[in-house]
Amino acid sequence: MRRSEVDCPRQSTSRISPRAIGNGLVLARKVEAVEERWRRCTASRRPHGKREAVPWKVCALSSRKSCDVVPGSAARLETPSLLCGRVQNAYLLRMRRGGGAARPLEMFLRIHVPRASRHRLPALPVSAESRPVLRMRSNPKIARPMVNVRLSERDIRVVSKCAISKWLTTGQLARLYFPQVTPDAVRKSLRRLVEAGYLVVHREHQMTEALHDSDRRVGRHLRPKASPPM
Amino acid sequence: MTRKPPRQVEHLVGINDVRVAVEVKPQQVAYFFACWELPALGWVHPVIPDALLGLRLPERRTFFLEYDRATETLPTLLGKLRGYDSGLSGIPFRALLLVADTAARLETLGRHVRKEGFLRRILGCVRSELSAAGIDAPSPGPSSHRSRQIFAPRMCWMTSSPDSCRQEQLFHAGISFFKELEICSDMY
Repeated sequence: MRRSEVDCPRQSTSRISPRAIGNGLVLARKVEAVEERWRRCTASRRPHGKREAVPWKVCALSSRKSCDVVPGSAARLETPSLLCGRVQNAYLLRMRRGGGAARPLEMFLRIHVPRASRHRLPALPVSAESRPVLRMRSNPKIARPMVNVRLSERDIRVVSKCAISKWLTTGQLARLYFPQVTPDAVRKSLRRLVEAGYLVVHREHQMTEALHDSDRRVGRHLRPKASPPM
Repeated sequence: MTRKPPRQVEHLVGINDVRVAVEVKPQQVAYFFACWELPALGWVHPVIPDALLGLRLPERRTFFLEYDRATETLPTLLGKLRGYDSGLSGIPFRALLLVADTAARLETLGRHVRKEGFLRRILGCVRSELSAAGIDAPSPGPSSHRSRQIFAPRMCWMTSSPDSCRQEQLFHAGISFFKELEICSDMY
């Protein structure tokens, strides 16, 4: 319900009703009273585009007067300034204003702390603290539950072989398990396993072949138990 | 997750190169255990080979593998070869396969092996050639006709008996890429 409907009854648009013939004067007075009440209700509304008036309780002070000297105002709390506590030469912060020395300049500064509070999230990995969520994909430790890879039989063989042989180059894996496959396809397949967290990769520099090893947790399950040869 | 390979990764990759050359044809491989897998087998011998290799030819035969990157001195390596020569108790093996990084190193090793006069058979090859050809590929013959005649059927050259020659061919079956180290210096 609108405010006007609460305070003021709905009124007709015409000032004097054409039906007010007998007691028309009384009706006209009633209408005036309603209008007066309506004017009072809407008087506090500020017109569009104008600033709101200052509340009457706030005292406007001149720049020379401190709030301490205003009678009736609350006494100022004499707490040590945060800035003064941090800065050694606090007198540098004092500035002259008008004739005499004034208080040290204080102001509130908004400080943006980019990382989330780790105390509230003890399970949150450190690397994910100050980074966006998508960045977590680059961390296989974090991204593992998110990455869902369907492993083929060849993938399992590759990971098992890496678990046994420790470090295998891309060429060695290609010779063993990708005989009729282009090198790009081999690299793509291995990269998929690396991103899924099944393999770890190391490359000394760009001119050397990448070395692949199984992830330790994966390799522990895939490594077959050695049997004596003889 | 970043994990760094060990310092001797080149040695590790070389052993795996031989593993891949062997396991490309999986039907003839009975087992291949690298040196880091041997402790799990309960290896108690003082000499630890770089790999232990079993082939079905068609009966199972065991070979030891040594991969030489020329990081050890020759006396150290020859001492190790003497350890193989005295035999590892309880492990009958057919031959010692010696893989070198370069042909020059293999030639040097062949010269010293011939000088020492080992009892066990020592076969050798170069790593890159082995990776390219495979373990049972025909041995790369030298360019000269005479050397090819010397090398190809070694026993036929050394003995005139056809049975011995057949036995020698059987011996080299499956590992035909490896050459007798005594005559490697003639090859390279």
